[in-house]
Amino acid sequence: MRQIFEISLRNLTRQKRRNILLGAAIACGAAALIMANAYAHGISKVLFERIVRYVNGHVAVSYMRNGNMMNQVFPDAERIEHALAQAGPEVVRSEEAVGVFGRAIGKGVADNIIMVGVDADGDLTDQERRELQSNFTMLEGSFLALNDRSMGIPVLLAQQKAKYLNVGVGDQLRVRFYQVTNQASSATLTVVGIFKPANVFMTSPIFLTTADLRLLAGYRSRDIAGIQVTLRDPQRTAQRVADRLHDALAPGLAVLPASLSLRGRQAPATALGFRSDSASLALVRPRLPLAAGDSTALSYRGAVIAGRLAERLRARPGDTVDLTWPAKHDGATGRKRLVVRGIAAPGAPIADDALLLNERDFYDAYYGTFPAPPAPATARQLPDTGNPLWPALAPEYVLMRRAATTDEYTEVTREMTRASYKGIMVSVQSMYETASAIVQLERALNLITLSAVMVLFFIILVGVVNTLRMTIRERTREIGTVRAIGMQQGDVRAMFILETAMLALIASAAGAVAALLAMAGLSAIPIDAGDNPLGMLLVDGHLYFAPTALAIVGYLALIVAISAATAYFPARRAANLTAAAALRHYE
Amino acid sequence: MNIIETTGLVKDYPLGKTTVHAVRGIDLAIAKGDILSIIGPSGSGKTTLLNLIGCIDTPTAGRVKIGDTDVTALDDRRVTDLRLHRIGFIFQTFNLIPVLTALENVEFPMLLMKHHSRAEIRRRAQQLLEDVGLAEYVQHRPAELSGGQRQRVAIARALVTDPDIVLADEPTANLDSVTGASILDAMREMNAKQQTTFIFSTHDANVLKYAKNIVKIKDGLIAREA
Repeated sequence: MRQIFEISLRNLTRQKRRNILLGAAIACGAAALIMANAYAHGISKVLFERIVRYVNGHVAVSYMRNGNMMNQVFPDAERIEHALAQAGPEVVRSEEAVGVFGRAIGKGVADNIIMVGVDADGDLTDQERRELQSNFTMLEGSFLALNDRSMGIPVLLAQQKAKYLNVGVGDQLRVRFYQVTNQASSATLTVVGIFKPANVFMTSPIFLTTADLRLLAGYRSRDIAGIQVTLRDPQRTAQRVADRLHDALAPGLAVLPASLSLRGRQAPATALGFRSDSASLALVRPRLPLAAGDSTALSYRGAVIAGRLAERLRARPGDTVDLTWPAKHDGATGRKRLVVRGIAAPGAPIADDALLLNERDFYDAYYGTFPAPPAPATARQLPDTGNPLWPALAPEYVLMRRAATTDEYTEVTREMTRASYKGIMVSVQSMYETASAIVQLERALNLITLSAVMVLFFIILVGVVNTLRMTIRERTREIGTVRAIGMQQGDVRAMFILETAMLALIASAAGAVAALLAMAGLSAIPIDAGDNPLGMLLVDGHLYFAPTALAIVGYLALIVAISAATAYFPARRAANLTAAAALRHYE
Repeated sequence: MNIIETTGLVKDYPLGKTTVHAVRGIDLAIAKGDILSIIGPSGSGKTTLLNLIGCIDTPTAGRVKIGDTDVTALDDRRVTDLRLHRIGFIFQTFNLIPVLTALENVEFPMLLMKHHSRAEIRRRAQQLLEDVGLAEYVQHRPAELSGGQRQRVAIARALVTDPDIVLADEPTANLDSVTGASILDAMREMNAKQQTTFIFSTHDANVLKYAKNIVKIKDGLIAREA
């Protein structure tokens, strides 16, 4: 084989001009393929790393309540932080993503805005700091002025937004917005910097520190906003981390350990919620016999209480009871006034101190003042999965199933919205799933490129076939000689295929080098895209190519394989010649 | 003992719409260690007979036996193997591989055999090139050698596998008389030393001096054996 390899390699030097021309054509095709792929991958990388990542993080934990995706608040930061601690060593950092829609009033002009929180003084790595700075090329003022509390509430604007609102550094901006509690609110911000946006998506938001925005948006100290997780090697790890985080966030039963009082009498109670959709109600009704009250008791806001608890409080349907419970944080006490709608009959599958609340009442209370966890004795009496009411009992929150693609994510969100859960819906998604459309876009671009370049290659390969036929014709007597000496047909075939494959390999490797040089050259040319949305595909005003070693090696292998396959048939014809016929051949 | 036997050997070639009857029924037996010269005018069928004996062409009819092996019953792989191991070829136009050096050309058939070490192959090739007087030209490519030198390389290549038979088609046709004579001397020496059977086709009367036996071919048939 070594001998065949050496002969093939040396034969390449026999028809230098012909092989150089053919090699140049293959090199051009390879370069075009590699550059187009690198550009498509660059677009995808720009969209992911510079846009989707800032909107979503590599992995995002987000919330939705009552179909409102802007209500990014979860009442127990500890629960989310505990899950994040189990997300794995790939996590570089996780931070809250606070964003609030509103309207800003500048000097005589108003415009819709989204206030976005940034961690201006956070514990950033050098790379993160560089990336942050590359997104905020300051034209006036300073990025770090965001931390200057002496200026009221500092804010940064993109130059386009500042121009439209007619404000400059030092001017004030009035903003109106809704807090996460749906309370209308307003604030006055001070413009401390104007930046040149790195991409079109940076022109609309105005940037405050996350801490300032949390206060404005009405987050309580133990509330937590949506989470963006930054990962090491996200392309490989994002889905794995998202899966792990999803597992760690599996919800348990929502329990409100409380005290119930009526006319001066007080008794410990454990409040549970039940789902109020018709399927859940149909499940609960026959399994929860009532000693008092009627079958409509469960449909209304209010409580159904256990028979023993009703006895201790001497409660009857229609009585108003007060539910109080200690909050998990801040030493606060939660309170809820409820109307007793029904009293469970003996034998009902609930504990003696239980009261069941329709989920609307239950979640208002539960999320309103997040309760301390139940005492161990209470926890032991809680219903488990064997309880006939279990499927209808309210969980801590609803964990949305993981979606693999943008479309599936949209479908899951739609399903959950249709199901009209009253609890918070928690979603865990990696950016490659949420924005899989970008991956599809990259694939489509690659496919289009590949198809176009394959046409080019088809033409080149016609050249390969012709060259090989010419070569074989010229070397027919040589083929006869080696066959006469004792070279097998397979070795003759291998010799010609190897020769073509080596030409293709050398040429496409040269093409790859040329492509890398061309990409370096093209990406050094500054481009002013102005307001053209296609400017988002530029990085700092330059074309962005993202060649990958895997893609280059893959394309080289493809080109070599196609060339070798093309060479197969002429090579087989050469190998099938009888030695005598080949030796008789004259040009 | 016969090393080669042909029985009723026929070879027809299609040539356009006609058929050329190149060999028309040749029975021949060649003893081991012979130096046989096949003579005859151009177009008489010498080269065709040589090709059939050398198993690089298949007969239209008849049989060729090399030793005890009926070659006409073998498939291409086995026939190729048989050529590699038992037959050496010397062509009128030398037919060296132009991209290989003299040494590599000689090594080539042994490398195809795949059961010798590289060191052994190199040693044997160098020895043969020394034997044919080309020790100083081992690294030269065919284009850098004279006609006589090329033919010596071809002889070394034909002998490197230690074949039972060496077939030489007009081995001196492209050489001057002095070089031709020295080539033939070299062959006779090999024949004497190793009992290698040499079969020449030739027009050259000088070559006949070296032959132990002569077969004359005319119109595809044996006209005379001597």
